[in-house]
Amino acid sequence: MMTLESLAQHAALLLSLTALGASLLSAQVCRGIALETPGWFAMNVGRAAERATVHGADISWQFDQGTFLFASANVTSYERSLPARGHAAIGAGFKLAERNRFVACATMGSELERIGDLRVKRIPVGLAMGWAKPLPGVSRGIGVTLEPFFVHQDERIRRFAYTSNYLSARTGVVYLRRGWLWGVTYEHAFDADARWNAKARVGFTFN
Amino acid sequence: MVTLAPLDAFAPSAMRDALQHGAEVMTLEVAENRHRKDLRDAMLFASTDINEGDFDSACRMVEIADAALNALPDSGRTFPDRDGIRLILALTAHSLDAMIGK
Repeated sequence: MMTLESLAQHAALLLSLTALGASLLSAQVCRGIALETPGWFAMNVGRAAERATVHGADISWQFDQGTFLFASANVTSYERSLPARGHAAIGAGFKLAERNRFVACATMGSELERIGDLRVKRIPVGLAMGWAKPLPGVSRGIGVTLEPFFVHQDERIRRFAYTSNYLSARTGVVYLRRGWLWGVTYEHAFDADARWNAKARVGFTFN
Repeated sequence: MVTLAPLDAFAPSAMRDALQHGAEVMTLEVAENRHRKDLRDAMLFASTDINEGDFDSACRMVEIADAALNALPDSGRTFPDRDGIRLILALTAHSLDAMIGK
């Protein structure tokens, strides 16, 4: 479990990130959602490495000054006789730059994962880049995202503990229509396990 | 490690005694240090995990034991024991891989 000290460090960093945000325009384009949407909730299902199935959900909420918070949880189940992988994450982001319909944001999060007796804590720090465009018609839009991130990882099992760092990336497409969203995402970790997952998402926006 | 010993599948439980022997006897000649303790503990944990049917944790323990084994000083006096432990770990990895499936 995360210690109080590390929680306090994460909270202090998130607060400092929040204080840096200065724009009133949407930062959620970074994650593929249209400007006027304050947030969303989506369920997702997909496939992952090792012939696994992923089920989960994610939520995001946007604040003034170009900041947003997000959280997600999912369970990865394996066809083989392996324990399920439970994963939960929270994070925050703030807008760095905007040009036309393109927005770039810095993101940081805290993730916990449990695989049998193995406990993994991760701190991903990323650069989320998004492009969103309203489409002709009523409340329609499409967004594309790319988010490379650096991950610091701490793995513990029994009395053994290991830390490592690796790069990962997430990309996706979101389609919005009348408050509903559909999308797909693909995430790949460039670590020794070369983990990946591809998910279809369906959800709604908060209007 | 699986490729070190291409054999027909057998049950991981067949390796429990070998793991315990490797941990408690074959490490005695190795100088006391952190890697020896990691090797010994990881092999004993693997044996316990196999006994309890926790093959995922047993796999992780075999990986940890292999890393600790490779980190031991390369002395000629302990070479036979280290090679024997490597064989035990390879056979255990093989049996676990067969049990978990590909």
